[in-house]
Amino acid sequence: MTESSHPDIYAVMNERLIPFGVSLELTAKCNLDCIHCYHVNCSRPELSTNEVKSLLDELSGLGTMELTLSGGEPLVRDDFTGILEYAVKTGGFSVKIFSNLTLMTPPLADFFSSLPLNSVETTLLGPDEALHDRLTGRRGSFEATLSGIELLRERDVRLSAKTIVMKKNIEYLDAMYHLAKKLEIPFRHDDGVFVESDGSRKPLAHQLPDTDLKRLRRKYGAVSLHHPGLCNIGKSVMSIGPDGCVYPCGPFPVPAGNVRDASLRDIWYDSPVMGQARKLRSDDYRVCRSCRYLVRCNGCIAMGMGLARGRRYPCRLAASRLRLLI
Amino acid sequence: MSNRKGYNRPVSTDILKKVPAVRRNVTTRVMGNEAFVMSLDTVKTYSMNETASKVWTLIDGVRTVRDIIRLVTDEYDVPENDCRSSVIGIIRQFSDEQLVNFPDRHD
Repeated sequence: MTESSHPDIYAVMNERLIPFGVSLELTAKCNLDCIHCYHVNCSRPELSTNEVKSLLDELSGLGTMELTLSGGEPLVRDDFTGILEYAVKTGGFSVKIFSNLTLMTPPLADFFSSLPLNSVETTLLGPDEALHDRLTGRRGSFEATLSGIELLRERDVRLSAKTIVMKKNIEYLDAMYHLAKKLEIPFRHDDGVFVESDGSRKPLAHQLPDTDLKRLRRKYGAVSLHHPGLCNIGKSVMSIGPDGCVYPCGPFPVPAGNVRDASLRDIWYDSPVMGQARKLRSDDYRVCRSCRYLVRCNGCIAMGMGLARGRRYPCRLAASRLRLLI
Repeated sequence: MSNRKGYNRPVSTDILKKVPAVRRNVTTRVMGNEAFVMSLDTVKTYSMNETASKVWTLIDGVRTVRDIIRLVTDEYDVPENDCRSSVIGIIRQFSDEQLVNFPDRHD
């Protein structure tokens, strides 16, 4: 028996084409209205409870071990606790939950604490009520999130927080790290702002300019997950939307199929979109390393293709990839 | 079926009566002859070779270590003495890594 690092496990799964890590967006609905949100695309009704459970059965059969339940805000679903319990107890997944925690209650926190969860991750967009509430678009959301954090901390649920660094909060990043330290929870930041699922570029207005991106990465190091050539897209990860659309990863702009029309196994192994996504190899990124626009996409295929949608974008590689898929 | 480091300890008959069980915060995926096991307590992931995977899948909270040795012996058609120390070594390693415990002790 060998202990394997996270990248090592994913490298093995990449070779075997096993969707080891899957993100399941349970709903497009959210009780917040964050300025940078890419708004989960939902062209058809959300999957029912039974459809979600069938999907979890399929994922289990395909070898998925790490399951992230997100949204929208997953806690707005009335059947969330049933889905979570099924995922943990029947599916045997290592479950991470992405939630703003504003809907956390003592009974729900008790329920979380009763399950062997991997972790819960929440988002802070500012170090205080004024900024956080302004960026989430909901008054009181900062206090509600902090209350949710406290409820879970009291019950020893493994918890972490992140932020998306944008024009409006970059100067408060240190303060957010300080707050997280005070709350005694791990904290990370990401600087990726994606286009909306329908192609709208509205969130990009909040993206850091190149100079700030460079400054941020110099100060904090390269924190993005999207290192050129190391992406697991379509090889060991995939993302499933609330309406059953399957994507090679969350921000990928083109679905590979829908679980209402085909089995997940068929989509994963046989979909042309998945095939195209997983054809990319590290050699394909050689040109990216010296690209002057790398600071914007940070080597993320999905982000590059998103940027290439709807208007001229200087990266011809992203544009040609997108043309291949549409 | 060789022993891993430090697991060539003398075999006590006590351990043969023990009933290993997978701990609550451990999740598993078996793919072919290989098992991948994750402890949610330690957030460590392990990959297992064929023998360790076989032992792992036989741990059900009911079988004793002796039962497991017998089943592995039958599966691989090897002498029980050859198999015993390997299986015990593997189970001890599972225990050391907090993947299994022995809730139903007979010792």
